Order: sequence, then structure tokens, then C-alpha cells
Amino acid sequence: MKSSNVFITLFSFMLLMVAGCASPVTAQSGIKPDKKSDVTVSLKVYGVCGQCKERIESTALDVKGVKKAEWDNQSDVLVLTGNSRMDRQKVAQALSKAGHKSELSAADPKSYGNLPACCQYDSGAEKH
Amino acid sequence: MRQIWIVLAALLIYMDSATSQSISVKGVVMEQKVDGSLRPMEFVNVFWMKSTRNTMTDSTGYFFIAHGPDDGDHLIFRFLGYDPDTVKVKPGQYISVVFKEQSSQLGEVVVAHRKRATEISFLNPLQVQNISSDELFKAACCNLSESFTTNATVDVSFTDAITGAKEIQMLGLSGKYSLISQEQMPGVRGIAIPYGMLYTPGPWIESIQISKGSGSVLQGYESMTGQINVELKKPISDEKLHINGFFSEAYRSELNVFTRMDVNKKLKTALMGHVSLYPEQHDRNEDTFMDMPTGSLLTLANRWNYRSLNSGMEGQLLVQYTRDRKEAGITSHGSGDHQSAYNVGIDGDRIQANAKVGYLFPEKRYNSIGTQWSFTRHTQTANIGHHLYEAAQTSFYGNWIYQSIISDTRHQYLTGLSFRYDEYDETLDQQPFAFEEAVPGAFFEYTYKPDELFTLVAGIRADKHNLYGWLINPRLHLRYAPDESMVFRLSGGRGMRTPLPVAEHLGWLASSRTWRIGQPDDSSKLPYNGLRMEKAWNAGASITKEFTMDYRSGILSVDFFHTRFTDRAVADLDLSPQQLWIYNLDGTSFAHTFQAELQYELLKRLDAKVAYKWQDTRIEYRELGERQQIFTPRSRFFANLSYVSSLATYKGHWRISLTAHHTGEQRIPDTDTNPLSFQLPSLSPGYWLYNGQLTRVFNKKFELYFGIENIGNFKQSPVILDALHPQSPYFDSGLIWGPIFGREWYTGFRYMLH
Repeated sequence: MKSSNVFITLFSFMLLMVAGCASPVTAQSGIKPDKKSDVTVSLKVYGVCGQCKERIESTALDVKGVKKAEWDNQSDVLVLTGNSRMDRQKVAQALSKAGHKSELSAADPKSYGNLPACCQYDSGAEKH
Repeated sequence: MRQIWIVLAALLIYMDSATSQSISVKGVVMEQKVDGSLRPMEFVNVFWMKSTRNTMTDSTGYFFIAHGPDDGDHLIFRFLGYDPDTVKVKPGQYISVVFKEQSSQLGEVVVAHRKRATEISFLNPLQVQNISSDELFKAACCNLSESFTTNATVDVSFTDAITGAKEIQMLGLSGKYSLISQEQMPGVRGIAIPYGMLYTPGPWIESIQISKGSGSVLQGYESMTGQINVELKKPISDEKLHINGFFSEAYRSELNVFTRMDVNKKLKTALMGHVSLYPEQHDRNEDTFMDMPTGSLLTLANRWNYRSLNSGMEGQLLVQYTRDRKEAGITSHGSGDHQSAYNVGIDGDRIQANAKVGYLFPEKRYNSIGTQWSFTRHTQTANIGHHLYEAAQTSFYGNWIYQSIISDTRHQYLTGLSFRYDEYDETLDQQPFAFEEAVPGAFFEYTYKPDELFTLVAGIRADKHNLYGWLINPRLHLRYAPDESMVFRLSGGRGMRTPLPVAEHLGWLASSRTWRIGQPDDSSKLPYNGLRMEKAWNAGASITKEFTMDYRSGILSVDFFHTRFTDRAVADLDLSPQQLWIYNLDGTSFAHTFQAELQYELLKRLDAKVAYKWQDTRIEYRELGERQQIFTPRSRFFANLSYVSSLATYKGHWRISLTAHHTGEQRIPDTDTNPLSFQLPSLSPGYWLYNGQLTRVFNKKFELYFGIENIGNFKQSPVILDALHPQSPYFDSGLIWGPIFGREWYTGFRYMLH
């Protein structure tokens, strides 16, 4: 293949990719629910700080069916988005094992004891 | 430039119902310093994501923005040097946003979704790919040259079958045409080219930034195809202690230690150590030559950080010492079969000191003065068969940078002066090559950033070289983001470098070729018998598109780059299999590359990355006309799958990474005039390589890993031409297009304290 042909092919390919990329831009700003069958539920989870936020969200995200987890430090509310297999009780159990109390389950005392002092929400650690 | 990221998102404070009736949003933006103190941030750009209607914070960090019906409810906060922050707001709300000054907080980033281990920056006007240490953990990555096994942009290969020297390729051209820097200071250059990549231990690396295209004028004129910048772990790193041990099937054994301590609130220090041993001789292909050198490498570094929050002064110092000893050639039990032994001894000693001193005007964040200083002394001897190469390099580098704005932060500029001094003293088989370079220079770079969508960076530098005269290098970068998820970039510019033909092609001394450098009767008095400086223009375009499918994010990136040489020192191996001639390019030489890369979290916790690269690099040789550059594959395909069993990093989990890499056909230099048994085909076959690694993370402190490289056990054959007769005219170990050693397992541990 001559190099000029290769070029034309490549440029056409690039243009196609651009065109392909450009069209769905408006449809995907990254915030809208991606599937209609997905459900969003909330769960009150006790925590204190940014470290807690990471622990709570990553623990929740590990649970089957959960696609998105966002915990608000001020209101202690964990908002979960997932498919029909997502189970609040299972999320609560996982969080209990991670040391976090929720409206559905108490914290595993041993895990709670292992939390860094700044994260021990029941021992006077203040929101920060 | 400092790596500063946002970690902490927004704190939403609801005001009384009285103010909730109003239709505006107001609040304050603050910066949390490393010591925890909060300071108001001025000139933070605040805008509505939907309408891009914007405002800026004042000197107290306060802002006020009206809310119209077309503004949506997402407010974005941006400040140069930080990642932007998006906050969902309600009209009438009072918001306080805290940007946290961060220094590499591995795994502590507070985000609900996962962070990709390799990120392509959206805001940077240059196309920069960031490789985090998460990515480096996916492969053995014992040193910098091995850090690109899960990356498609940079390719690494051996230059020959004996000396262990490595060459990287980027945009279809040798790594010597890209600027390899350490923390934006001079890194692997000069006589360090053949082995310098081995002198940066992987466990010392915090992150690597790969930028394609001509780059900024700030760091000099040497970048032609791009820049590879290595950030080492810092005294302000999150990690307090990191110990890594490594052992491989070839008995390669390594130990790495990083530790840091605070002397006081302002002064912090870190110590880094690395020792590796290659004790055992291996000859798997039974050609009597060792498949890799034996020997040892020791490198130590001590670094200091000073930072005074009150005065705005900042300073850094890094001193690194390296001692490299290698022995190669015929194995000790194989030498009996030879007419005479073929031994190789390579010694390298290097000391480097880098310092940075900066001053940030405390009341004007956009205003700063920075200076960079670097000193290097490097000596290298290479005894390769009957060749003896001795080299010494002394380099000094100074760079003074002033950064400010014209009227407001939409127009920023940086300008400065630099001075570079290099003294080279080389001898190849009693033929001396010695020269000095003294290059004062000045640069100016203007950045126009009218809004978040568009950025223009135009730079120019002028340097006065004592041997080559005035060097003028312009650079231009354009970035346009039609929306939050897509970026177009264009770049163009010129770069130059002084050729160091012996150091660059050191591995080819391991052959019977007679070397001819330049024109021995040349009258120009330029180094290496009249070799001119290498000069090339580079232009490129890229598109990066981020997307989210089913809450999992992905990124698609496509780029095209063109490099055209106006001057080049061509290493011609085609002339004859018994000769190597390095001469000034007479005709044309260019490289086209096209790369498409797709990353997506295929399933929860399963990341996939595929990349395809096409490259066409040609050189017009003096006698044979235009040909493909040797050992440059026309195509490469790359795929990586990595799985992590849990996102919750505080508890034990598993990590698995699998990589497949296809290297297309490569041109091999002509061997037609050799006897039939020492002839090679003109093209190497394409081949696949597979690597895999399994890591068990026991807890935040301890992890064990085990991996296999080249699982398919693919090996090049033959490796060395006429290996049984190193004195014959057909002996050649420099025709390398594939792996030499074959499959190799390795295992290691990491112990970390945070």
C-alpha cells in the first residue's frame, strides 16, 4: 500500500471516529441514569469524614448489583443506584463488617474498634 | 510544576429559609494547605456547567453568581493547577468549596467512582497521559525501562543481544528524540542514553507523565517527539515507608527502600535506596553467549523539601548516586569452544544533584518565580570484545522562570532564561571525541484561556549554541473542548539535539562492524567529524472522548503525529553487514504515527484497555535511497485486562492483570552479502507477547505479587550471527527484533506504612 493511500484511509478513519464521538455528546453528560430499569435507594450510614466516605462508598460498591454509591458527610445519607439485584440489607451488612452503623444494622464491634480514631462516629469524633 | 489535585469536595451549608428565596448562589472558595490551614483562593473561575456563565472569586475567596433558567444546577470551580470541582447546588444556597493541596495520596482520592490507573488529562493543552503507581503495580516494573509494559505509547526493546542496553521508542522514533526528564529537570540524556533508563528504580516512581508532541519551551529545545517525565516519591508523600523485594527466575534479586521524615514543620527529607544483583549466567539458546549481563546496580538518593507557608518560599534538593557494574559475553563454561574469548565489561558511575527554588507571591497566586539547577557527572567505560569505549560527561543546567498574568488570568505568560553546559570526553578505540557545549537561552510562553473550553499556548525559545549558533524553536498548542467530555488538541513545533553517535549506538559495538563516524576529512570542526545537530518539526492532532455507560466510565483517544527531520545523524547498517556509517542526512526522513486507544471498565472492577498503533518511519539512506527505518514495527496492537476483587482498599483483596502485545513486522538491515548461513530475511515475523501478574493485598501494609513475562515463551532466533566465531567478519549481535530470554517468572513483596 502506498503511503498516500494509507494516509487517506487513516484520515477517513479519524473523521469517522470524530463524527461517531460527536453525535452522542449531548446525551451523555455523565449524570443521567444509564438504564431505565435501575433503581435508586438511600440508606442512613453513620460516619464522620472523607476517609469514612471512601470506605462507605467503596464497600457499598463492592456489593452485588450496586453500580453507584454516594455518601453525604453532612446528612449521613448513602444514595445507591443499581439494578434489581441490589439489596439494601446486604449493603448494610457489608458496611457493618467495615465498621459502619446504618439504619438497618449495627456495626460489627471489632471492625468499629479497628477504625481510625478520627472515624469513630460513636466516640465523639466530630464531623470534619 | 507541582502536582496539585483536589481531594476534598464540597461542604454544603444550608442557609435559613429566608435566603432560599433568592435566585443567586454565593459562597467562598478556600484552599487547604498541607498543614491543614485554610486560605481564601482568589481568581477561581466559577461557572454554570450548562450555560458556562461565569464569575471569579475575589481576594477573600468570595463569589456571587446569578442563576438563570438556562443555567442548570451544576456549578464548576476551576483553578489553574487543580482538578476542577463540580457541585450540585440549589439557588439561594451558600457554598463553601475546599481545594486541598495534595502530594500523591495513593488510594485516598475521595470519589464515588473508580479512578483509572492511566488517565489522559482533559484540561492540559498538551496531550498528557498520566501513569499512576497503581498502573506500575500491574507489572514487574523494576525500573523505568520496564514501566511501559502496560502502556501502548512507549515501546521498549534491547539494542543488542549482549550488553543489556535498552532503547525506547515513541512516535516511531528512538527515545533520544523525546525529552526524558525527572521532575521536569534533565533526566536520561547524553552518555546516559544506553543505560540511564535502568537507573530509576520502579518503586521510587510516584507517577510518569507521557506527553506526545513538541512540548513546552520551558524545558529546553531537546524534545522533538514528546516528553516522558518521571515524578519520584517525595518527602511530602503519603507513604512513610516502602520496602520492596523482588526475585526472578533468572535469580535477579532486588531490594528497594523509601523512607521519609519531617525534620520540622518546614523541612522534610526522604531517603531512597536500591540494590539489584544479577549473579547467575544464563545461556538458554546455547549460543555460548550470556542471554543477559550479570552484575550489580546500586543507587541511592536523598532528597529534601523546604516550604515556608508564611514567606512563600519553596525549595527542593535531590542528590542521587548510581554505581553500575555489568559483565557479559561468553559464559565461563562456554569459552573453551572458542578460538578466543569474547568478554564484555561495562561500568557506569553517576552522581546527579537537582535543586529547585521557588517563590510564590502570597497575595497573588498567579505570580511566581522559580529556579531550577542541575549538576551531573557521569563516567562510563565499556569493554565490548576488542572495542574499548570510555566516556565522561559533566553537565550543568540552570533555568530561571517568571510566571505572571497580563491584565487578568485569561492571559498568562511565563518567561525566563536558561543556561546549559555539557562537557563530553569520549574515546572509542583510541579515537578521541571531546567537545563542550555552552548554551545560554531565553524563552517566552503565552497562554490564552478565555474560558474553560479553549486554550492556546504559544511559545518560543532562542538559544545561542557555542558550536551550532542560534537555535530558534517555536511551539504551539491548541486545545478545544466542545463540552465536558471531549477534547480536541493540535500541536506543532520544532526540536533539536546534539547527536552522541557512540553512546546512542553503544550496543552495536558488539559486532564485527567497522565504525565510520561523519566524514574524517570534514573541515567544519563540529563534533564527530562534522555531524550536524539533529533538527525536526513535529505536528499532531488528537481527540479524547470520555464517556459513561452503565455508571462505568471509559475513554477513547485517537491521535496522529508527524515528525519531519531537516537534519539527522543517520546510522546506516544497510551499507554492508560489516560496516556502520553514521552520517548527516542528505535527503528526507520522517515518521507518521497513528494511535487509537480505548479504555473502559467492562464489568464492575474489570478494566479493559485496547490500543492499536500504526507507524511509518522512513530514512533516505545515502546509497540505498528511501527505506523503512530498521527495527520499527509498522503496527502494534495492545490489550490489557485488569481485575481487582474489591474496591475497598482497606481490606485484603486480589489484583490480576493480563497483557497481550502484538509487534508487527520490522525491517532488518541487509545481510545479503553474507554467506547464506549468516543471512537474515529482510523482515522479522510479527509476534505476540503475553504477560500476567497476580497480586494478593493482605491489608494496607502488605502485599505479595507473582507474575510471568512472555508466557508464550517466544524467542527470536537466531539471536547472534556467527556466535561461535566472535572474530569472524559476520559476527553481529545487534540485529535484535524480539525477546532473547523467553518466559520468566518473578515474585516480590511490598511493605508500606502510611
